[in-house]
Amino acid sequence: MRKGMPSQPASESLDAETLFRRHAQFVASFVARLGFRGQDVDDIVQDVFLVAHRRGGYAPGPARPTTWLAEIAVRTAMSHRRTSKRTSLLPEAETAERMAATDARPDARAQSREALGLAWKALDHLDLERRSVFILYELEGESCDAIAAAMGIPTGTVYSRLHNARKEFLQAYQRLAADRRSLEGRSS
Amino acid sequence: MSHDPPRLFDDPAVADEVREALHQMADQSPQPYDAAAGLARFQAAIGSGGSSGGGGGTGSPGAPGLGLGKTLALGAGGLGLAGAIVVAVLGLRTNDPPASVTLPAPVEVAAPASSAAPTSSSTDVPVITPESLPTAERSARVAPSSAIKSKDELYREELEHLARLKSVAGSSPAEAVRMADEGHARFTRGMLYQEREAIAIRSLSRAGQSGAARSRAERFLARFPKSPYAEQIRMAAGMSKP
Repeated sequence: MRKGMPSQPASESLDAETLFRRHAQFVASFVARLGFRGQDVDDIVQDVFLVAHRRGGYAPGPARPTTWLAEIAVRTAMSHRRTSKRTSLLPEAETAERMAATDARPDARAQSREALGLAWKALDHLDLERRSVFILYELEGESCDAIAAAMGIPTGTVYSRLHNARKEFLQAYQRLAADRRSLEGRSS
Repeated sequence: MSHDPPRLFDDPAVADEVREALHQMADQSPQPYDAAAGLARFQAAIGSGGSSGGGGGTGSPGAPGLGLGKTLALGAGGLGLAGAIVVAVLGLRTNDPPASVTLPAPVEVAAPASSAAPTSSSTDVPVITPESLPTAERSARVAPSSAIKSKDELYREELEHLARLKSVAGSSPAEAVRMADEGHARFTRGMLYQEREAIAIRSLSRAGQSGAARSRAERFLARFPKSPYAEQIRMAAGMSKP
């Protein structure tokens, strides 16, 4: 079993503009991985850093700047989802296609595209709380301690959410893959 | 002391295609983001630079924080409006009767070096020569603005480079390492060195060059022990925590 790294907070205070310059890409990517697209991403990113600005920027503490911003992003995303007219958060098919399009081998590209598309759809089956923990741990490489510090929850709760998120993600992936195979079997 | 489980993409019990998909999801953002444009909009919203109001406040109503941005933008706009009113009032006082509106008061005030004699008569046309204009002061005002623009342009270029690097990293680790090194050399005073280097180390590891990955990881961790990418880099290089 891998041991996670303890939370490593930054030692310096960072104003909101510095945070934006350093971490806007991280926040945008995180928000997009939460399932938002287009103008929604732009708006949520703005709101996240405005909240950071209103809070006086990042101050050294138990959370690192990225996880601190991620926590704000989750709250902002939840609020945005409540007020947004959009209900579907499924990633567009072309997103997966674009992301897999850089592979030079056509057969590998097709497989990669399919797997990536299914993975995004599987991720979309998770609610925002579990999805955010899954993204921070599995995709951003944060430790459970760092996530717990940022979210203000016990590390045990992070473990629990991560466990459930993984279970739901893998089950959804297998179900989607089975559906895909079934569909291909019928059409051939 | 935490006991985090292995990441799914390191877990041999998970299907290879899922692990590969997770690698790609980690390496690439599902949507490109124009951080330079976002920064300009943010600066406008908080009033730290750029034009006020132009880029801010297009979000959905009710989103947290956006009200602040709108308030600040409106506040900046209000200040501008108040300033315009003050200037107009001063102009009217200086140029009484109103027919003198064709001679804007700021022109008279802003020409201290002019040899034209001061006059209170609105019918006298002040002589303004290029030499009378405060050129030194104007150029001093322009300089910081162009310096900021240059910095922002560099930032935008560095962001674009990083976006290309991320898109390449998913499929061609060797090319990603080359691009990361090229980025380090190009943006010596940039802000995204750590992210580029993290991608380079992950790419070296994925390309099977574990020795090189570990060597670079050790240098990185010695230099940035508290980096947000430290954990990712340790994972990629197969290093345990200190």
